[in-house]
Amino acid sequence: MSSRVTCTVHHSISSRLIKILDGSPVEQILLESCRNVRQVRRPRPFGLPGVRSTLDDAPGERLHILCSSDHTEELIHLLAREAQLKLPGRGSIIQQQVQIYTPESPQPVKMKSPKLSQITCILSDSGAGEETAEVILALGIGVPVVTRGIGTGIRDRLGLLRITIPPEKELVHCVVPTHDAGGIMQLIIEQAHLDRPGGGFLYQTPVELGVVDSRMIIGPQEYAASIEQIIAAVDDLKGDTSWRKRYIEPKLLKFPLLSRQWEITISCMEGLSNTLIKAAMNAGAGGATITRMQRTDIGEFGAWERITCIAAEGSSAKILKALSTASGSLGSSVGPIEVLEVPRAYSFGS
Amino acid sequence: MKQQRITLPPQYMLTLVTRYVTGKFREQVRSVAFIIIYLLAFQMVILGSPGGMSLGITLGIIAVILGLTLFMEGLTLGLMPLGETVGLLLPGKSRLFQVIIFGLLIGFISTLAEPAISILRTAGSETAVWEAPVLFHLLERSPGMLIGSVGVGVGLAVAASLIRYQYGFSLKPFILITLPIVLGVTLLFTTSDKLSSTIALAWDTGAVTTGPVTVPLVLALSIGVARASGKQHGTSAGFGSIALASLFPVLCVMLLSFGLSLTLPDPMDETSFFSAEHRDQALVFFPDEQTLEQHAYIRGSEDGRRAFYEDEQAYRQALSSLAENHSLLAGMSLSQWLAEHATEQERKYMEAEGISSPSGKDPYQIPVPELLQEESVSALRAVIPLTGLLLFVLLVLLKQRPRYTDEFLLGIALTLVGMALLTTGIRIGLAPLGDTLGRQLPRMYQVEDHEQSIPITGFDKQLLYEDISLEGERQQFFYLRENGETRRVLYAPDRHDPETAVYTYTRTILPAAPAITALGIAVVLIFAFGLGYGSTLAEPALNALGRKVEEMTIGTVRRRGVIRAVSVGVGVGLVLGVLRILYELPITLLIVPLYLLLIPLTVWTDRDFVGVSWDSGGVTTGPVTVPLVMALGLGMSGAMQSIEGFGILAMASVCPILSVQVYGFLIRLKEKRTMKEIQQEAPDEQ
Repeated sequence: MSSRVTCTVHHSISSRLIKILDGSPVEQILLESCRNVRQVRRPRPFGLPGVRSTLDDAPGERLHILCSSDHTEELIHLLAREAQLKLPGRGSIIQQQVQIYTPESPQPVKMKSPKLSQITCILSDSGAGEETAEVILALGIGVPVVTRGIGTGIRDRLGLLRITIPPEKELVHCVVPTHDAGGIMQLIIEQAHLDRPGGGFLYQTPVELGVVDSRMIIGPQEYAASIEQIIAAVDDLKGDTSWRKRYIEPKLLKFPLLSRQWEITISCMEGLSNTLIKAAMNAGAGGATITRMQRTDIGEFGAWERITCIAAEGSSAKILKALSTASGSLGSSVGPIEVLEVPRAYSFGS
Repeated sequence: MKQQRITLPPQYMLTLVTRYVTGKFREQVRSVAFIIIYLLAFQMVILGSPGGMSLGITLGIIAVILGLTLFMEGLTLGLMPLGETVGLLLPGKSRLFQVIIFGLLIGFISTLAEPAISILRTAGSETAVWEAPVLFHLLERSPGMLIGSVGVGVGLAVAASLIRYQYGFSLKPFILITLPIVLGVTLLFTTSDKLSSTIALAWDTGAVTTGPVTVPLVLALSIGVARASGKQHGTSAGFGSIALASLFPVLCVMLLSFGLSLTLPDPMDETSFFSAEHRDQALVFFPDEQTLEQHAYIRGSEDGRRAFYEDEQAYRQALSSLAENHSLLAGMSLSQWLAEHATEQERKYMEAEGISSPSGKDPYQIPVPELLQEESVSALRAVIPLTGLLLFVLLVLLKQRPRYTDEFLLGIALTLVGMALLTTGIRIGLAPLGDTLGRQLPRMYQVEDHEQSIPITGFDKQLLYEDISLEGERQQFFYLRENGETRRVLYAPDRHDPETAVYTYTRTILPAAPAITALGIAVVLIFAFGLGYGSTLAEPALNALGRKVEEMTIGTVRRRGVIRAVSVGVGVGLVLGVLRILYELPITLLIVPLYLLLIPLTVWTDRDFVGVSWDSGGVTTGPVTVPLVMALGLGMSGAMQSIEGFGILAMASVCPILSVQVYGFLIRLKEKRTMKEIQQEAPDEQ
């Protein structure tokens, strides 16, 4: 069993983290540029009463580290200490249990009631990332992390008409308590207009443990303790975070969610994704999202890409097999195939 | 199981296409709206010109928007993905010398493809060979050498950039070494009469060489190489190649000028230049005496023409032969020559010879179909050789194909059509509008000459004298005493009223120098700023750069922010350029301090922003800005009787580098402030 550790930090810190990871027992380190969106509250100019609230984009970087589960805890401690992640606003780190695909063990790991979940929204409209991040901040869910990707799927099957659909996607990631994930997903679907054709989709993946960035607001402190400090204190008193449940899921969901989906991820040297995507789509995958990364554990910063596709449990076996065959012919230019359980997902028409 | 192609119902297809087209069109309307409204408003409100929009201008504006839409989409679909693919694959599959040769070729071909040289020739159309022999030789006699040297400069810059990305060198040392050398050579040139006139040309070539096709292509290529080589991490990778493509050609042109200056005669006055005594030196510039004689008619003044001939007789004979001998006027009609080049005295002489001067000029009609054809050819020249080279490298050397062939072909077609429409639209729409304004603007700051009529009472015909010319032409004059001095004044019978014995003497009152009003200058400077700002907003190469910056920084640096910072820079640059023309400041006085200021700024600026800011300087001067800026520059310098319209583009190139660095500083400052607040407010748990 392997772990995927995702560490999001300010871009000035990432080089230091890469350096300390040098020589660590990791299988793969991929670096991705991102931006962390926070709300900044400042007094109005010229002494006017009230507070002006704007969004602040901080340039960040996301380290995707693949390592064996035995070393995960040590690694997370090392990174959290070095990046001072205990301080809200410094970044976040999460660990997810992934199954490295082999024909013998094709199933993802079933986690028993994880406390945290990651919601990933893949948005088509330009500027939708900003709007969704604003919604997430307004709902007090957490600090959204925005990355960019390129979508393929229906687009590629339209012929030349594909040019009318922009391939660039904005990906918004946020980590939420699992008990709230369903409700939050419903809210995001509505607010980010994912209930319209071509708007995009979102899915939830389980997070085993993590340090979440809770510094959503930057600005003058109005009280003796910040809201994050109060929440942390109540968490301590209660012993867990279930007291925070705010979103009661109605029995009849407004937007029906898909269940029993798998997230299949594979990384490769830039330029090779075409072959892999073709193989996956021929085996029944509906589409894939490509994100640009830099692989940092091979001496230099090599240009790599990461392909992610969400597929129903039933069709996943075929896709995994096709991907495995295709990647076998590409040798060391391709990373391992990671499989992760997706308990809930939503796309228009699902 | 092969994935089936989806066929959509027609109405759904129509919706998709309509949404796509209107979206793209709206984006371009927004980008050109400012400059169009600004120019029209200026013409109507400030200058009080009547007319509003003529059909040509309306058509031109529509063509500009349509052209920009197609051109930008074409770049996104065709050239940029091609450049990036080649960039990504090249370092892995080829040797260093192949990369260098490829870089040199790309740079060289792109320079040949861009119509930059015609712009420079327009700027130097008033250059006098006797005053600036080297400049004249470069522009008129050996433009091939000039283009060649610029091409070598751009080629070296692209090759150097590719090597830089492959080995992960920072841009800073490249700039910090090149810039002082270029500035040093510039200062050296100011000490020589022969060479100083070429300084502005050299700096302008740096600005104009990087056009709307080269920039996005080189940018995409560089980003590809930088990503593939993996020597750098972060957002700076891939930027900075345009910067070197702006500096290296300056140096190359200066070196060429120096080489030429060794063989060319020194500057001299016009009379000496055309005189028989200096005939050998003058013939260095012209193949034969007849061409030199022709030059005296189309570029020289009366003094020059007189000096060309041995005596007055020969001069008059040549003048008389102009009606039959059109070869002396190099294709210009006699009436045009009489109106634009002949002096009052020459006109009078011709009139006496029975050759009348024209009553008025025919209204100029813009030949739209010819223009479109001409622009289509130049679009083909700009796009096809570069695309051909890249395709050759991709297909033959790298043995790959573009990802979507249909999309690529459509992209190239759109680029071609878009560019032809855009440049035609500018020539029939925006440029005439800018030109009218450029010519009318000097009126804003000049105190006009005015005439004063003074009645002289007790005037008597007995005061008149008469003289006769060699041809027997008689004229009457009288002597006038004014302020203790006696002057000879020609007698005009219609001003004399014999009954009252009053002669109305008209005296022209010259304005007190300088002929400039403060309000007029303020209006001109505001106009220059807005013109620079607005035209840069619409510049397609800058748009492409902005998109790339936003993409590489995942939106932390916004496209709009970069475009605005650059536009403000160009606006300020134009203001400085206009001030230079108004107060006749030497170009070195502006360029050297500004670039010197850039040295410490470049050292301090964040690595991510150095490349972007230096690239901004190169991308600003494209198809929208250049014609408008040139119209302003030529209009102004024409009114100020300045010899050249150069230098204004160089100013529009240096200021954006400064403004983008300042913008970068502000972003970093904001970021640091946020980081500091996070640190300060964090609970002390450590």
